[in-house]
Amino acid sequence: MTSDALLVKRAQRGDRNAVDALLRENYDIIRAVCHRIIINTSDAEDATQMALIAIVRALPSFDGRAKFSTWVYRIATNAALDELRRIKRRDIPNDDAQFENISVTDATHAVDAQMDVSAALAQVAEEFRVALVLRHIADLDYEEIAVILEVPVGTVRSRLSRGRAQLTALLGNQGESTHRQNNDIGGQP
Amino acid sequence: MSDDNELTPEIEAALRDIPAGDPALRDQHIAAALGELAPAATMKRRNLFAAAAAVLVLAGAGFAVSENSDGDAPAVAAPDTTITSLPKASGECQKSGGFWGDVGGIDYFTLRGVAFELVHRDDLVDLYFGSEPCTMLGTIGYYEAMQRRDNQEGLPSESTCTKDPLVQFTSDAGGQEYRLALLETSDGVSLFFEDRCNEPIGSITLPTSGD
Repeated sequence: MTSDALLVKRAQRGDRNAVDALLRENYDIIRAVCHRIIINTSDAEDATQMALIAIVRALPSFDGRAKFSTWVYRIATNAALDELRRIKRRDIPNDDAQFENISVTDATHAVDAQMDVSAALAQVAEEFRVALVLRHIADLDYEEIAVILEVPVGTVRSRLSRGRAQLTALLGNQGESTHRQNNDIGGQP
Repeated sequence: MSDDNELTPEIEAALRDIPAGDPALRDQHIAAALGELAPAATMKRRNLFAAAAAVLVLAGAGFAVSENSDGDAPAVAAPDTTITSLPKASGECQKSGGFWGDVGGIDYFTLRGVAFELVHRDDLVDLYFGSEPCTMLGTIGYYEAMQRRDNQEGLPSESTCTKDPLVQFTSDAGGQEYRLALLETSDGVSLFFEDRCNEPIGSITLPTSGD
């Protein structure tokens, strides 16, 4: 049994130190997944908190069939998607408005960034964005992403392809777009 | 599986470049999550130990006790007939799979006419009386000791066990595989690495007339 597997077993037995260690070990990637899916910083932090709580609650039911990290990403992804749904119900009338709003808000906080990937990512359709995050931040392969998103591998391939194309196109115009947004922001009285 | 078309390294790096979080917020998040743990796990375990302690008192009262005059032998004697009148435990000495369902195996041994069961749970062993009410006498964890050995830190000098062990087993809980031995001591049992028999990993004292 590997030390990681043993740590999980100890955590499942209720060993507080083991749970603490597992959460710290995975915290950065959980937070990264939430931030890149949700974009908005404070909402992403809320999702990170919810993901951690969900992990602790679900630990006894982890059966080891998937890698622990994959299981963690699945919970983090679900927490982020839940948070997005909550945001939509809260104050955003439609998806387009949400992304436009987040994009401008995020650009405001990233005026010095040469490549405002957050603003661009916010404009990528949600289902493509989630696939991009799982592939390029969580380093999951297509099969693992398919399991997490409960879609066929072919769908994962398609979403990634289209997501990459959208993101690349958006970032190709990034300098001009950010410059224009910054000027707009700076030009307002 | 290979990707059809990857992102450029610059975009990939930018995607991963997420500003570091506030360590205080991280600690707050983790503390809140750990708060979910207390009622579910800690209390269940506390209840288990409380129940075991209660049964231990009964068992101690009913156990025939002898003062040890042999020096190294544990002060445990065969139970007298009052044992059979003690309340029965709900299970059969953990044979059903253990409280957390993670029992890896059970070793049985007899010491001075009393049956015991050593229940293996990953990097722990639990010692039980081997007959009802199957009181749990204690637990010895050996994960930290194995990790110290894996890292070669603070090791006792090599000293092979010469006494006949009550139980011998192999475990790789810490990473590498080691042989362990449960040996009788003057007041109970102790767990050793077989080649480090001069320093116990942990011990369990068996009940005597004073307990």
